[in-house]
Amino acid sequence: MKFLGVILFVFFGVGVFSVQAQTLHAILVADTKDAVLASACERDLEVMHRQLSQAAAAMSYTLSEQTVSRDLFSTRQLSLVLNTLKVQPQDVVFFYYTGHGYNVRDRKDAFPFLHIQKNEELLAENPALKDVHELLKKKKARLCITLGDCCNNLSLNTRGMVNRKPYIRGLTVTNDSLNTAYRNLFLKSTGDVLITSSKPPQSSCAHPDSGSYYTRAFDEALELASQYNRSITWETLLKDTQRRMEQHSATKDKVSIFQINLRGKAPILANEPDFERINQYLNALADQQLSPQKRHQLLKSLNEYFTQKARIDIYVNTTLGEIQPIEQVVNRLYLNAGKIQRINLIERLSTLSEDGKHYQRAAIQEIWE
Amino acid sequence: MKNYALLLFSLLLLPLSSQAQKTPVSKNLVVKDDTLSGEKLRDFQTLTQQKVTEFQQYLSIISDPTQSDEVRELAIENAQLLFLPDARMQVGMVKKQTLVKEYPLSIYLRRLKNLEKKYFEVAITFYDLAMVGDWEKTQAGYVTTATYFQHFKGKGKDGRIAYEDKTIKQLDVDLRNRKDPFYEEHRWTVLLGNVRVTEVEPKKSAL
Amino acid sequence: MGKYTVLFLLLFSRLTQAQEMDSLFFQESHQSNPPALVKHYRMPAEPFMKTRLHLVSDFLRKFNDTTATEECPWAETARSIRLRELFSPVSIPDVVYRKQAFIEAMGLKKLLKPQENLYAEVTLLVSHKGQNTRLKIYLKKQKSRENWSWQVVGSEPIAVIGNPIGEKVDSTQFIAPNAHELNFMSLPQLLQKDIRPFIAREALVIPEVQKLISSVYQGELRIIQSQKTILYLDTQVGWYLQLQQFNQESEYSGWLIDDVYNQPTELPVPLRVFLQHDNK
Repeated sequence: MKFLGVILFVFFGVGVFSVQAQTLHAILVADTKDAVLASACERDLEVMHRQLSQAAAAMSYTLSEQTVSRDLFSTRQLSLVLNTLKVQPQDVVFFYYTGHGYNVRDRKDAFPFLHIQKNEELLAENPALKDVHELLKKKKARLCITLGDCCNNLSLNTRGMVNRKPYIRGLTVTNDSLNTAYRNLFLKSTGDVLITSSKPPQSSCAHPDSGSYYTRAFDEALELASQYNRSITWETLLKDTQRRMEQHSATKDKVSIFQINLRGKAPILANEPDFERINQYLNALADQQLSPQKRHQLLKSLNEYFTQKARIDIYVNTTLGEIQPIEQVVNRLYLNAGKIQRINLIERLSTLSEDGKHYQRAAIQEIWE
Repeated sequence: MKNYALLLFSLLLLPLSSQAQKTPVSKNLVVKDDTLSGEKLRDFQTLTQQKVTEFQQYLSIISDPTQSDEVRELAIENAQLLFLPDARMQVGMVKKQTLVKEYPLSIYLRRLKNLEKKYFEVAITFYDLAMVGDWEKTQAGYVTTATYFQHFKGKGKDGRIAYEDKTIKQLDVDLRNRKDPFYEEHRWTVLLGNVRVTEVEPKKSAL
Repeated sequence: MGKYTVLFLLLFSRLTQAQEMDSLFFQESHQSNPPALVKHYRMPAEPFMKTRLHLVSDFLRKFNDTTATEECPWAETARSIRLRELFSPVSIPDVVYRKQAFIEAMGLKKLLKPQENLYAEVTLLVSHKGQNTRLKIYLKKQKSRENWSWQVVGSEPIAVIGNPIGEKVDSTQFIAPNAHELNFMSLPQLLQKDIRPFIAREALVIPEVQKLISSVYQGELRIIQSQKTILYLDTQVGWYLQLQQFNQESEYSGWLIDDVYNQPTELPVPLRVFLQHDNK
């Protein structure tokens, strides 16, 4: 009887301690009242809500979401949310802002102010993105991410809206692939990351139907990471987001900035090929903005990344459409510059050669215009 | 004691049952390797559209004398890889002739690169419309038809239009499970086939 | 010199003498200099390119659309307008009269399994006993289990002397179900030597079909090119539609109705013969 009691205690006791749910605290701040940005910010909210819901589910975390938007979009409401936020040591905090932003001359902080208070006499109420980040860091969550998608220019002009819709194609994802990448990013990371969509004195862009360009690029990079990459890090994710921005004419000159302060084991080994660099290489071949001569020169660099007879599996969504030797692939990318919007290297389905430095088999997805 | 043991046993089973794999239902399982799901067929339709766009791109490069010989040869090589080995290309007919000419694709592409010209200036227009029909099942796989348009204008030295036509190109598209000659494995592949040319009659001409 | 080399040289010499006018093949010129300028453009599709009924399936989709529209909230009237748009702009009085009768008869009826009631008349340029001539053959779109193909069901009369062949039929060959969209361009390559794989089983007893099989097998008849395709669609409600491709730069183009019949006697004789055999 005594023995049985011990068993039951161990079973339930361990169970009780181990199943206490951690929380992903999502604070979504969106200027959905603004005459220009309203619909774009609504789209952004949908996108980030979806991403953070998926991330929480992948980690088996409870999602606690607070939204500061519409009639509650004010500095007072934001302060209330930030000050009353209660966080446990293993929790994750994700702060997201979409709306207007600005910076001021001679300010040392490269990260912008959040233009929540529009009254020019009360601009001092507007918090700096970095200050928000510092405040949240003090809550001592395991991981704190702060992302601001807003302008960083030196005037209070309205954020640019563009007519051209970003050519974002939905990617099909599976639960398994989602979970792996989300865990890498949110569960295995400790520290903080601060991100903003443009460096000073740049503005950021949005489209009324599809939302802010940076947020959409981030969303796509995250979806791609969750589907294709074995070893995603915050650095590769944010670099990939930046690269996606550069592929659209509206945002090709925009430069996002980020600060990553993470502790813990980096999943990428030092001598493994740089996934991001290879992705950039493939996309450069088909980048019409580069001169034909430069792209032709790149054809000779394929052996830096691939074995001579590397096999390339080409996917259309999740369907294997073609298998081609690497030489044929790079030639095709070169010839079809301007017709191919993007190449996505699917690291998860790629295989390294014995030397561990080149791909002998790689999978890519070609997104055509 | 017995009750407690039973309770413990059932409690222990809980986490196991939640993690247990569902037994696969294999009754009357039929493996159909000659059919594709709707999703796959849609993806292959997308791939077909890409191939048609790719083919138009190669035609532009091959016919462009400002491109280097090396690049034009590369375009010829890659254009051929889009097609079945015995694909034939129709050539638009002279208006009073009744015989439509056909060439093996390789010869058509070669002549495209080495053309003898009468015109001082040539403008070739492709249109943002590559239509791909629904797949039809055959005993060998699936087939469909792709359509694109092309407009050609040739001017003489005097700047006058010497020849102009607008044509509809319809391509046979073949999707089947083939053995890849290079990698020696079977997989579903899309290849373009014969190309038919039809001239568009201008609005003014009456039927 | 191998026979393929000879064939190639013959073909090449013939090609270099040809006077193609395809937009990408220019007339032979006394000059041999490259053109001064070759420009390539990419343009948005013109309106007629989008509205054209490129494929028979486009035609059937429009034919079976019996919904009302914003402009015309009455389904029957909207359907009537759609059916009118499916006719080629003919002005022959008989056809106009039949067209009206047909549209009234159709009302809101849809075509059921139209692909299984589709026939083709293909005009072929053939070489028969060394003489070029034209020959019409008739095909039906058939479904076997889940697989579609066109099969020959009739032919115009051919004079032939010869015995039926009795070798094993290669059942792996077929005429693709989309062959009509390319004007049956592949027939010269397919219909060589033993054409029995391409014949509908029910048509094997038809004398003209048997003669077609024999004449091709014996080399008396060689198919050079397919020239014209007309489709016949049995609506199963007492009307037959005759379809052709119209390629004008207008709102209504592509596969359109050229004529309608409500009497099977109006159909070409070989098709009537097959239908009689098929119904037995």
